[in-house]
Amino acid sequence: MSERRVACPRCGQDWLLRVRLVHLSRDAILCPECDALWQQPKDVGPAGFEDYGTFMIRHGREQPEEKGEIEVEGEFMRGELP
Amino acid sequence: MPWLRHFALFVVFVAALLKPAAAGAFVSAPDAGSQARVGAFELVAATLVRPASAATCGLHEGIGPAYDENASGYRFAAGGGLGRLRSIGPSTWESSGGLVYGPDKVFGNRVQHVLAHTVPDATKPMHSVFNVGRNQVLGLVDEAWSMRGAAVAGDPGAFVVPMGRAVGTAGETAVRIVVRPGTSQIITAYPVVP
Repeated sequence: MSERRVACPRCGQDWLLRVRLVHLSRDAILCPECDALWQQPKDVGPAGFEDYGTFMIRHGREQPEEKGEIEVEGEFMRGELP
Repeated sequence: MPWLRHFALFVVFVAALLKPAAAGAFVSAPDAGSQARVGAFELVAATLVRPASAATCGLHEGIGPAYDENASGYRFAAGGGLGRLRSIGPSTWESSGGLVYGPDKVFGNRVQHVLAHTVPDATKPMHSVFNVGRNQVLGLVDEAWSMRGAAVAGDPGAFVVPMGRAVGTAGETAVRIVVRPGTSQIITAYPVVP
């Protein structure tokens, strides 16, 4: 069976996760190793990411590492790429 | 008898000098090659092996077994003073090289995140591992941070620092440090091929 999980195109050191940014009520794709964040599956690539903490602070979430800021919905799978 | 009082004071003084070593708080790590001076004692890459005090746990929860009460900080030094941590706020430490280790949503804090790169992890697509022990990694990362040049093109939070020697178990000779862009708040660090 071929691997459907997607390694982070920025760092390659972990699998991408589908996450819910709870207090912002939006979904995103996150690398738990390097904190690269993509807003849309179509954006996932070596560019087009933003630092998770920077994004959250810019949107008014001053403590982005606090529990409850994100919910992990599952691993981001290759079929979810356009 | 003045001589008795002087003798008693001498005994108290000697006991105070020997107390930390006698308490068995530290053991030498087998992979340690560095030395650090702590008060009157030379300890060889000391690692705390007994549970920290309640006060220590409250203030430094989640950091792991490396708190050195004598040095008033965490000890990961590889020499030259780099790699030592001091608490600068809740769940936040600053290394002697200026990197800030804050909370981490996966590992609890960024120290543990970086230290995860001292052991293999087969669950990851790739997981590069430092070729030095846990007590030397933060010193190595501080050393790399002090040698950094420009950030990776198009990625202002990433720095790849050639170290001129092998720093990874697969022969990697550079350290990649990821920080929050425009800050010294570290996210991760691991060995890479430059």
